Amino acid sequence: MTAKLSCREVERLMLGSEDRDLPPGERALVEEHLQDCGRCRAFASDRAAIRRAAAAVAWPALPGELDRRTRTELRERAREAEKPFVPIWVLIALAVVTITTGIWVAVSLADVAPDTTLADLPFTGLAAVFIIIQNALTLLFAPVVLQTFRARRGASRSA
Amino acid sequence: MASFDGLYDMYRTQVYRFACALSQDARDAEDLFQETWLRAVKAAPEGPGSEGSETKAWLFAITANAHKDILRKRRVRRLFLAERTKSLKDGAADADLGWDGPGHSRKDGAARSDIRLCLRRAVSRLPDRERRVFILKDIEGFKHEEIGRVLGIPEATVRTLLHRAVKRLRKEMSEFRPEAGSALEEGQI
Repeated sequence: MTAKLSCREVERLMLGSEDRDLPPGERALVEEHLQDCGRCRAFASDRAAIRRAAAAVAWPALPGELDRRTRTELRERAREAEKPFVPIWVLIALAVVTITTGIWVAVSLADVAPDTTLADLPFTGLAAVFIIIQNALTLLFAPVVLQTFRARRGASRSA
Repeated sequence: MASFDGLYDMYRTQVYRFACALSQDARDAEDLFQETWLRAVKAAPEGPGSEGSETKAWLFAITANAHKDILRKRRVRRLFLAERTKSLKDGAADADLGWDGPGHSRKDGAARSDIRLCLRRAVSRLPDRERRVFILKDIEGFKHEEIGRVLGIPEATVRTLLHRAVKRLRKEMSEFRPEAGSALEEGQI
């Protein structure tokens, strides 16, 4: 801190002092500067007037219709967010199908040995391999598909 | 939802006031208000989850970001579609006469000379970044550090923007009230 402060420094310090008290040294320098500088005294005076005016501005009240509309919309959004993305009956059906398929695949591939080729497999064995590949691909791409679906649903709702 | 209802009840007035101060136009303020709450309900699980100044800062940050997005979209529309939309700086506050309540009109000499009305007009003419900082400081009562957090800028930048805003407001308001000279006088409000 130099002994003499510029007007710009004093203005910035005065603004800073609105949040916290200045250290005694800085405060003394500012006061000393203000005694000699009419321009900075005018700044301080104007700043005080602006603060009072800002505190006294009458802002419009929240319109009742906007309040109702927003509240209704928020409740709808929250209700939708609480709803499970997939209905419960679909989840149960999926669980049944998954367990059944798992058992069937295990039974179908029970006789497969390390040297068995696809040509050696019976039809049920081939079907089981096909299902395994299909599930792997689904797991890989499902997040992308779901994200796209959600984005489209969101876009159509906001439209 | 009950807790979000509580959040809405607690902060709706403050968010609307902030939206009004940022927009200086009733319809834009309504859009901004709604957009803020829709974003808030979407982000609620990631929000601060507690009441108090942190929650207020979180909501105001959402409002400020939504306002930035609205302005950005408007600029893009203007740029590419040559759309003629009204400017926030071309006296929208003057045109929106209902904001100060019934009884004020454009030709109302008393209202025009009112320092508060002058201030609102002057604030509406501030550059966007300075306007945000000024509103958060002088109208919403945030500290410099909190403003930095709300707007995602360093505290030093907040101080610089506030300094510029105050200097600009002094100039603007002296133009509104030429009889008062370059310095505003105390005791005018």
